[in-house]
Amino acid sequence: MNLRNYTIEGVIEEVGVAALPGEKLTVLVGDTVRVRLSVDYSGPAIDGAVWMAIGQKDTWFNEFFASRTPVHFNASIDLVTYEIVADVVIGDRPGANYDMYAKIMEIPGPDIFTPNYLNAIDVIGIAEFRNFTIDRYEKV
Amino acid sequence: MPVAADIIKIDAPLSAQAGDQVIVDVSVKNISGYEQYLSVTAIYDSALIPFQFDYLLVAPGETVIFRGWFTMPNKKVRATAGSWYWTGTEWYLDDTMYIDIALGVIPSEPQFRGFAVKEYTRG
Repeated sequence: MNLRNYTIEGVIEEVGVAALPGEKLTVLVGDTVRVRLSVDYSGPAIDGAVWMAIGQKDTWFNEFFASRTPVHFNASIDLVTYEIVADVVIGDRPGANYDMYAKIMEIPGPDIFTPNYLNAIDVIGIAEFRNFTIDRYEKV
Repeated sequence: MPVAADIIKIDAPLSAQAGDQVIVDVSVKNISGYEQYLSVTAIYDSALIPFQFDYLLVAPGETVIFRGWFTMPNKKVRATAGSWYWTGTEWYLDDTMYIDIALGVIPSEPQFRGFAVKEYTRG
């Protein structure tokens, strides 16, 4: 009997370990979600930070997990594309249909926001067993 | 068609800020079958661009780079270069090429476009 795909790790592998916007990523408590962001920048050389948050959006965005990543933008006349990687550690708060967003902060002027990405992440907690019953018994 | 001093290319920034030193590299190839004295002159906005060398002795088939520079004015400019070869009695203008250099201004305020998530993975 092959139980490999019946472990939580197996479920995660079946769901996949990478997602594009609009897709859902399933992770475990204790995992790190690595988010790759992109932005075009022109202007003077500045330092700032990217705030990456995962949580639930209702009237407000309730942040459950978040991280701060320092960023630097070089002086540029033309728009230059920057790729930013932000890691977010998933804490002990399992749940489904978590949302996420990011913002560039600590810069001159207002913060710069991504769209909200809804239902982007499911977080699986400890292993759960349900409906453990005897279906049949027989003499062997 | 050039017969001796062929301008292969001009390397210069596409844009510069007013006051920047703009470096212009003019690559010239001796396409004759003989060793030739080659020279380059160039102008921008009716002003002469000084070059590192007045002329060079160039072997047949060899390409040399003449480096010039000027201070970017507060407007776009067209730098026009001419290549010359020495006939033995006079300098002969053999080829010309130009390059446009836009006046660039770094925005005083940060400008962001297209901030978005590209991908997210389970690490």
